[in-house]
Amino acid sequence: MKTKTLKLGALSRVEGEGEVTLTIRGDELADVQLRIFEPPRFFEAFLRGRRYDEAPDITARICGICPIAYQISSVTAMEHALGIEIDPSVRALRRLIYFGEWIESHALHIHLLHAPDFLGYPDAIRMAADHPEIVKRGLRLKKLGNELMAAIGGREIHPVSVRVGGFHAVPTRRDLAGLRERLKPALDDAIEAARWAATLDIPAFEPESVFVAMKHPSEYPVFDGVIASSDGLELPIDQFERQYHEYQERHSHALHSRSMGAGCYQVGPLARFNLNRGLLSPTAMAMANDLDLPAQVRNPFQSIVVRAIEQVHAIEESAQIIDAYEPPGRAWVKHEVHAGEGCGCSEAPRGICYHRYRIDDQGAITFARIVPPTAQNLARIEQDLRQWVPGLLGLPNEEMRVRCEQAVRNYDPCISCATHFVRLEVLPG
Amino acid sequence: MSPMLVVGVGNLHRADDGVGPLVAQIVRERRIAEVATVAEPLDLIEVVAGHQCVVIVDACSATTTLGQDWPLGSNGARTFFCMRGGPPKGHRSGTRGRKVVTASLHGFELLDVLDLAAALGVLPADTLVLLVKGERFGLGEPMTDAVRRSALDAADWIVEYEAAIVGEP
Repeated sequence: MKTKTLKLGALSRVEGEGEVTLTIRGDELADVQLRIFEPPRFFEAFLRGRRYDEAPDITARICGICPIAYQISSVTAMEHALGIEIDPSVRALRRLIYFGEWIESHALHIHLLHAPDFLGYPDAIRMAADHPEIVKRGLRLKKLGNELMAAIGGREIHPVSVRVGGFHAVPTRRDLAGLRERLKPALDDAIEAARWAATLDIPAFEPESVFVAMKHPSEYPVFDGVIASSDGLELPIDQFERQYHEYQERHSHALHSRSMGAGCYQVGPLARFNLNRGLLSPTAMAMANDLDLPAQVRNPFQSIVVRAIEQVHAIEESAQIIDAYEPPGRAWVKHEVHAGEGCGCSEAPRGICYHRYRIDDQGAITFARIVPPTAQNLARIEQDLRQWVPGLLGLPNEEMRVRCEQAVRNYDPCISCATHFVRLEVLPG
Repeated sequence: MSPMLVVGVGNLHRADDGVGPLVAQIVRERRIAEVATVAEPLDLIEVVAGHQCVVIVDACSATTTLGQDWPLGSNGARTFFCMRGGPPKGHRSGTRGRKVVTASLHGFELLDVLDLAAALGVLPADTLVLLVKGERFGLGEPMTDAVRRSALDAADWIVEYEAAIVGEP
């Protein structure tokens, strides 16, 4: 029987270095590998021995597109370890800066990375010539997200103000007033983006999937609550590692994850939406209903619509936060350092980002574990391809490549995040 | 007011990557043109929109013979060249063909951004890119002396270029 191995080459319009390899035996798909060859980065190893309050700024360097996710997950973990309660205004500001990251990341992915797939262009540059309004809208929204992050975080790339116990400095009401005005036209842009996304030609594809996201009783989840799944689990954050296990695949520098008893699972916008739809802001919820999104969105190609709905939510809640904002009495809480262990989890644009740290009585980190969202999605992406590719086998190789890449981009993978660590065994000589 | 905008691209905290902002700072001190800096190339699109004449200064790490033509752009800008120790006097290459890079990551590269700006119709008709080859880009490292000298050369060249632009009918 003839065997064909189809390497789809370096994945484009994703962050980091990876490729898809399909092994086709006869007229059947024999194997799929999402090969991650970006070098490992060993963040967990070099966090050991560093001070607990360095973790937010060190881990932020894991990713240029979602540094806030790493900062918030690490500070919440440290705050749990040290028993620190943050001021409600600080908590609100953390949601606001996090929404800036969602808006920036979603705007980029929706308009410049994923849209070309649906409109039949190889990239945003060539799409822009025919659809400049789409790209310009994406750039406007991305800029707003950046400005939100800069207003609170000091700068848009790798913000510097988040710290254990609060912020190094907080904005005044006046600092945020200009941004509040900008949110009005941005909400119009986001609504338009969601309506436009819903008109795209979404391929029919409904794989069975387990969705895992944070859940909060009264808020669309960002960094508080429990870990919930579509198969009925609800766990405190500190039970995450009991249910979700990392493992090594030979073809990947990034660890994969599985849910005990359920196998691969999915994190990210679809998981958040499916588990928390009732907590969307009023306009976002109305749009989800108007656009006839099913109660459980299983089609990963519809992630572009769900990201757009989340963008509406992020802008609408940002406005509410700014309207209600009163600067905290103290930007950060003074605290005693002692030995401890704590977990933190937050909803990065691509899904849950889990951190656990152990510190000694001097505040030095003795153990660190970071589970980024893309690593959790890798097995799910391969499973999607196993189900998606058989329907493409009659297509020319180039068209198959394009459609496979589109399926990978449904998850907006950040490979640089996923390769933050690889299991390293040193054998005795 | 000069019709020229000078944009420095880069990060002053990353050694030679800071050459763009450094040139912008020198030009600002000489008060010869409007100046802007961006850390992320994608921000250029908004910054350059509406201008007629833009000089963009950035660092590069390409292993090419610098000081010579380097085919960098196909986006409708008038001229591209790279430089070391100041651009070649009186030298201008024509617009060159360049394969559009489709493996774009979350961070768009400068030349992709220029292509995107051209596709959106906001790239100024007269756009030049000055690239200075850097040697080190580590966080917190000092800029190399060679690149500091190149920054001064680049600023001198921009002064001459601006005078020529203003002198044009």
